[in-house]
Amino acid sequence: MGSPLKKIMLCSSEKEIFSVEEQVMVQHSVIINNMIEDGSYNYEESKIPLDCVDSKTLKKVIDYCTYHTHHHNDNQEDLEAWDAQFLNVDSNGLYDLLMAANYLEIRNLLDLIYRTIKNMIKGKKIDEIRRILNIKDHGFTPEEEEQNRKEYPHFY
Amino acid sequence: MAKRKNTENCSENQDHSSNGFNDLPMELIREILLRLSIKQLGNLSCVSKQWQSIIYHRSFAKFHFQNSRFPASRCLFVLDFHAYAEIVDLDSVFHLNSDSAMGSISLPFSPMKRKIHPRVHVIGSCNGLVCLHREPYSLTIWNPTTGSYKAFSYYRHIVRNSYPLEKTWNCLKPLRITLLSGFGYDESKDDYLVIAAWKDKREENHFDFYSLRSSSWKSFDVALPNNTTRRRDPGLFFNGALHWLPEDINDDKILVFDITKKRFSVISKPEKEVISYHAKLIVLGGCLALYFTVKSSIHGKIWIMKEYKVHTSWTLYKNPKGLFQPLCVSSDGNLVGLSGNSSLMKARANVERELSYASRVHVGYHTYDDHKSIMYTQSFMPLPSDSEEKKKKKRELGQLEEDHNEVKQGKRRSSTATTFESSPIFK
Repeated sequence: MGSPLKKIMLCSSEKEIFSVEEQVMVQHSVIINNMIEDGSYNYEESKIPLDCVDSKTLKKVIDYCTYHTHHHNDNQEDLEAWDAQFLNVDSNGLYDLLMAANYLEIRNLLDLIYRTIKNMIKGKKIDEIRRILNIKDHGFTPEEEEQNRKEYPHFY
Repeated sequence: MAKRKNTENCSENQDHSSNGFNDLPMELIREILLRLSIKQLGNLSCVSKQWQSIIYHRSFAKFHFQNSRFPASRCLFVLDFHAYAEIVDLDSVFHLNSDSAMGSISLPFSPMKRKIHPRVHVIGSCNGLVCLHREPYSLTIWNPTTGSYKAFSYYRHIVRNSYPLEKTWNCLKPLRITLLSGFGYDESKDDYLVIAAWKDKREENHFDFYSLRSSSWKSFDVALPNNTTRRRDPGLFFNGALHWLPEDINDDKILVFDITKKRFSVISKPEKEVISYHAKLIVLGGCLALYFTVKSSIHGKIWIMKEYKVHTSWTLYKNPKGLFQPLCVSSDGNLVGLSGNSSLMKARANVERELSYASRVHVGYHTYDDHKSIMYTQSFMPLPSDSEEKKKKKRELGQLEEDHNEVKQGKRRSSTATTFESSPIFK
């Protein structure tokens, strides 16, 4: 573990560099924790390339990790309110965050996103779920789709 | 620590808007779906082909079941001479709008020409499967949630070779010719077993099981412990093992058989030499528990073994008034049980572990008979004998829940025509 004051560099897919307190990322991201621990990160020159995370998403991920590092003693209700506000994004934004959290292995963020998506689709009809998650190609043949709709009209 | 593979999910990052969440890697979709209830999953399989293949994958049902945060909360009541059983969701039955918490379900037997149906008893349940005994000699493993089932007879293997342990044929206990019986899951072989210990005509002991995977009777390599006395009640499956209460009052040992390790052991009862009635083993809040009434009082005692196989952890819950036989701990942490002959009750325990009654629901049929009710969990768990995953049947589940809403209490009971089918097999 590095000292709390140390900074590390993260590089987004647009090659934008973000400087973050090492402790913030080490505490949340399994991948970055591993890189620091096994010494593959060089504080003088290396920056961690995150080729599949765009700047907008990376900034949000860093916001999440920073907030949760500094506010982990807050009461549960306040944290949940902050999380809800944090995830108030459109489905593309949520998708990007999920991919980024998965890539960086930020477990509590992953869990938060899974739960959010679960609540988005809970109790919804199929057409609504497809719209919410922007699923355009469902992969069923027109015949299968028609069959399903006929057989289970109350699902749609 | 080794560096994790971290470049895999990294392709085509910008283009996701074309197909939204369908482009998510399978394992991430799976994570989301695992968090949804069985009831939801039935119709989610129509969202996309990919979701369908995830939900119907064999390992998903198992994983979903293991990760389910809610333990068994459904109780199945088998009624005499009826072609259907009653199901109550004990978590929601006490809520105000609880119509959907009760419903009827057809038993998995082919329709009888005669009007009178043979008696059905319950042997046990595990992983969402229920084992039923139908007179005279038929056993059925059944998943009430998906409707798949398998029926077989124990006549040829056991009955015609056995020593009559009980001559009174009007005794209506299931598998009355066995020393021990029970239904459980063998984790090492991913197989469900019906266990039967019995005596042949030469009075020699046999310790056999029916394997659902191989559809045949086999013998265990282990012998029964010496002087195994007859236990009329089928064993309770808990923690990978079957548990049988002693019937002899001088015997204070609960006999335990670990199905995976194939090993016998014993657990001492909390009280010795107590003449008890209506004794029953149950699972309460993930712990083994014992319920019984004693002669001196009509009030039952509930002992919960807070730590499995730790004798000092037996904890007594006092029941100051009335009859209350616990069935489960509901998701709000209260005890739910049978009270009187046709009602369910919710009870709260105070710090002195004394129960007080919170609410009561009348169900309108007999609930108190032995071997007539069983707790189970909803699961998609296929039977090992299912040739392939029966997608259609799983989807019927959504239908089932819908029908629950339509079939109201009074209406349902007046005529069997209003009961619904759990699966298309019986149509």
